[in-house]
Amino acid sequence: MIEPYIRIVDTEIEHTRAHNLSADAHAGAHAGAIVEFSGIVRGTEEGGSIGQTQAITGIDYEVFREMAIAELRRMACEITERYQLTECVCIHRVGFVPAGDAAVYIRTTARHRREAFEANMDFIDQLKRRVPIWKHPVR
Amino acid sequence: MTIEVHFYSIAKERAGQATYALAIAEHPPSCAMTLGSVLDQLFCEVPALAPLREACLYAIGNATRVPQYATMETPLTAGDIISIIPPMQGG
Repeated sequence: MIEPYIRIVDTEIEHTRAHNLSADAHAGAHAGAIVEFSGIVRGTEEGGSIGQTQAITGIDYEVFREMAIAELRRMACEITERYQLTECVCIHRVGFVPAGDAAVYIRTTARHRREAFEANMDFIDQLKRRVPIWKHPVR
Repeated sequence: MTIEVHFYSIAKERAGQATYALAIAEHPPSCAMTLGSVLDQLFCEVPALAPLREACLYAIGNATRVPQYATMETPLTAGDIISIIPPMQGG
């Protein structure tokens, strides 16, 4: 099984660098679909009342780093096996992330598009339930 | 024996601190110390955390073992560290 590329970073996510790191996976004869997801920090956050939003400058992401890395890796291995991925990349930014910047980047590569799409969705859904990271909106 | 407890996010805010040292009485061999029994004591000593009990997940690790999610029945030994993990919001 391929080794997932998992990183937690404190600075801007460098998509290009991530691409280069796994160029071999794309060049092979097995990959037919690449799905990329970037989770972007919105400039507004839901307020206390229903339907109300308030402007924020960004989100401060708190992380339990040691466990988050281990859990991301475990999750990535499970998903890679389940969807027969030829590549699995996840980079999560922590600390203060300004509105408009990406907080998370997930790339799933598979032989066919269905597996690549489903794996990507499964990854972000599980990340939100399993990986110890918390948001603190900053006005 | 002391069990170290680490708090995150809202649990840290409610506890007013990031870590807590829980002094545990010696258990007889027939009565294994579990996560559930230790949490009972923690929530008595830090009552501000009690409303979070059902909402949180719990992980156990130590100086050499990466933390993993645990159940109330998971046994604890000296040197273990409990991490209290409120509902997560990554992504």
